Amino acid sequence: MIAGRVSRWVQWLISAAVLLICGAAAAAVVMFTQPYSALRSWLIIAVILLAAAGLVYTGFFWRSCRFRLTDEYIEFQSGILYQITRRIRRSSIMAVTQIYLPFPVPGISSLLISAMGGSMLLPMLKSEDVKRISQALLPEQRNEEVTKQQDD
Amino acid sequence: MIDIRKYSRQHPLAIIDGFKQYIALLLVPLVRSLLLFTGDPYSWLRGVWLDVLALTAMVAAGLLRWLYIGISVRDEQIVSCCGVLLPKRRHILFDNVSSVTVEHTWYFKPVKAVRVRIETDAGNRRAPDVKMLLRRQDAEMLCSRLSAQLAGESGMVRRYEPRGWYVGILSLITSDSIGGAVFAATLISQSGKLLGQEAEDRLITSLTRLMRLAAFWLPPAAAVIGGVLLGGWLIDFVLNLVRHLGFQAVRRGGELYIRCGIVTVREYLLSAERVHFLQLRQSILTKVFGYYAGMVSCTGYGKEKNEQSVLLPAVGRDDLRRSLSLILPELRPAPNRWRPPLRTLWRIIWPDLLLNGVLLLGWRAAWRWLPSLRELVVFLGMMMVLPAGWHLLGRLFSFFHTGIGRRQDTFTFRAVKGYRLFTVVCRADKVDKIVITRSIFQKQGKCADLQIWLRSERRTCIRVANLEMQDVENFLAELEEACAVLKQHAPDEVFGDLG
Repeated sequence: MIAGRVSRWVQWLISAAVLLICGAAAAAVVMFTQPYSALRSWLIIAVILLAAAGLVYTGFFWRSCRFRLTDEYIEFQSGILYQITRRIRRSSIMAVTQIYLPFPVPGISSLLISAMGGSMLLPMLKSEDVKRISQALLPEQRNEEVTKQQDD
Repeated sequence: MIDIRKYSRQHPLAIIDGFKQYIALLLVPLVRSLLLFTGDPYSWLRGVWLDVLALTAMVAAGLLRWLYIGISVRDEQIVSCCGVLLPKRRHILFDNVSSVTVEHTWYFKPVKAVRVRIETDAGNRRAPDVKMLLRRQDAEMLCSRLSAQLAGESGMVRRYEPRGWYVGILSLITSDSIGGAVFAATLISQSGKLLGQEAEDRLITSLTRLMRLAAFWLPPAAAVIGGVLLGGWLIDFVLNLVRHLGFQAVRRGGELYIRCGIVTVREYLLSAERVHFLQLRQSILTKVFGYYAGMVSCTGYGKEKNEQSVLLPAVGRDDLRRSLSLILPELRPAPNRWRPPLRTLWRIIWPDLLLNGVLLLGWRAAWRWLPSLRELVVFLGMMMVLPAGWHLLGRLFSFFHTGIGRRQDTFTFRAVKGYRLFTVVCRADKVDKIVITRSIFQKQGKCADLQIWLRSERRTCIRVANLEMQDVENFLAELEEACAVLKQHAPDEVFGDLG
């Protein structure tokens, strides 16, 4: 069995998005409220609290994003308040697509598992996890690895 | 990241192939303005600078795309890569390929470019898993590797080539006026876009004049409607004929190779194991003459616009068994074992009998009481009684056609949609869902309708009407048993294993 978590980059990217949204909200508060008013103070405190809550949540969210590859199926679980578990039988997997990020993040890529009836995305995996899953799913890569080990 | 040097690139024509329709729109004004070139390049460029800029941007985008798209055929899998901003690498095992289509488009023949589509049972229903414009030799290499994998060690080649007039019958059955009319309308509007409004107007005027000449004794509106319907049907018939002439199907081991077309030749490499079902179609007329058209459902085959998933263009009753045992022996239709009971026949045909009776009586009465309008009465009576009689005939055919049969692990479902009679043959494990519906009358008569949903790219449902409840239960038990047997004998299909 192969099991693991997605890369920490998931957390960093979601945190960046949370900070961006909260920053925009804070700017809007500053622009559209009276200076030194109680309303502005309360709204800014609320935005800061929301940002902090968002940042904490992303940490837990990252911990909840797990995958598992067994002899029978591949499974991906995510979410805390609303947990989703996606599972695909290995016998119904038809294609495996490795997706690289548009910006150069070393050692990170996603896997799209296409199967009869739907597909499943394993987002932002570490390269060693991608390699392990690919080796398990794709016979040729496994053969290449075995040949390399024999050569060594 | 992906090392593109390890992959075969697309044919260089792919640079402009992605947006050829826009390029035509830009090139025609450019060429026209070049023809009217007065010798002053500055004033010429001032007139066409936007077109030149758009063309350059398109070609640059195409070049960038072309640089990042590639395909590689390895021992057991096909690896394709694409994407400039979001690079993707897709691995497809040979075992999982359902079909490969190689399209030799007539205008690509001189430059040895072919369009290739690779399909699996997964992925987007509307788009193929991999679609590329490859060099002919690369496509041949891909097909030979896949063919060797599918055919296995079987050396026996079985070939089916229908006679030319069988393809004519298929075109006759499948042509419709709408398809041809849409084609003609597109042709006229596109000619207007490319050659200018004047050319489009001239074309329409010529067509109108032709219509007037052809229909000198008909009212103009009727002539136009008749012309559109007949002309549309004729165009669609010719297009279908050209698409399917030269049809041949070859079976070698697990490989089913189909080739058709004379202008644009299409080659299909199907995995026989991944054929979902066989569908035999008949209209009432072809039923009377004993002809069938056979289609197969296999992901990717007959998916594109204007394509049909033909396996047997048209075959007689005797030829059907022979041809099927030659190219698709796994899916041969079985006679009906469960069929609607005879007592339900009256319930099905009484509304039609009543309608026909009323119409005949009304016709007779009008004939008798309106002697001055007898010509009109004869005409109107014919126009009403003939369709009603045809409908009754359709109902009778439908009743005696409907049913379910079984041969080992395959089931044959016979059903009717409108005036078309279908016979669908599939393996038990290709049935995805069964819905049983009963109306109040069916409850009284202890009957039920069966909706059988089959696994295929498009959602396919067959409705077998009015089976006896006991028969439905027997069928379900046998289906379950066949599925269990298939599951026991299925090879251990695991996408790789954990070694």
